Amino acid sequence: MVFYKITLMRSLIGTPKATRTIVKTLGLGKRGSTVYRRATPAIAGSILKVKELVDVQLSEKSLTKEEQRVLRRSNPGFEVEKRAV
Amino acid sequence: MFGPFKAANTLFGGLLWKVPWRMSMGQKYRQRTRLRQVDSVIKQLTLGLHVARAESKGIVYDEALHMKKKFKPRSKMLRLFNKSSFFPREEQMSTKNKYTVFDKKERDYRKGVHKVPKWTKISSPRLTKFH
Repeated sequence: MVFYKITLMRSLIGTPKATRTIVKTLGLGKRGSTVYRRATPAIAGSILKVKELVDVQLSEKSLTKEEQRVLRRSNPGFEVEKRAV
Repeated sequence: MFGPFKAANTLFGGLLWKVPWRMSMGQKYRQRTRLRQVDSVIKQLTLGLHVARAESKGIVYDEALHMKKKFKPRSKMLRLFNKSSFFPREEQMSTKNKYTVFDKKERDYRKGVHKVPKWTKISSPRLTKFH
């Protein structure tokens, strides 16, 4: 299955109410937030309405918030072998 | 008159907010990158619908991405936005359309796109209807 990875690049400050509603309906919150949506004509249509504000990439899988967080995590440079009780 | 008491419009009367009549090089550069960003969004949307249709026909994701002949999007709007006669890409646009917009009150009926309120967040027409 193919998904759109949609990221809100521009803030919604000063945008009309209709634009805000579309962005909210897509499931986006603050600037920089990312959602995965199935690639359908309906979703494509609503992204098209806010094309100046978002960035779109294709993805084979839809990632949950936790999975996205794991991807963002930087390399700590060490591995924990055993934890003290 | 020099120094701190020099005669300048800002010193004579309170608030002065001027938008220069022409865009700076940096503004133009950023305008071009924004136009290209919109182009990439449209490209990805079209590609996404193509892959979705290919997958419904049993073609796997990676293969569908690299297919030479792409399925047309089953969305009227998206088909229009892929037409250069309706929505040209950044490199297909004329300089005039990139940096100026129609305005009936201006001389020569064109003004800088930077004069439009919220111009970096809205879409201005990419084509002029009348030349």
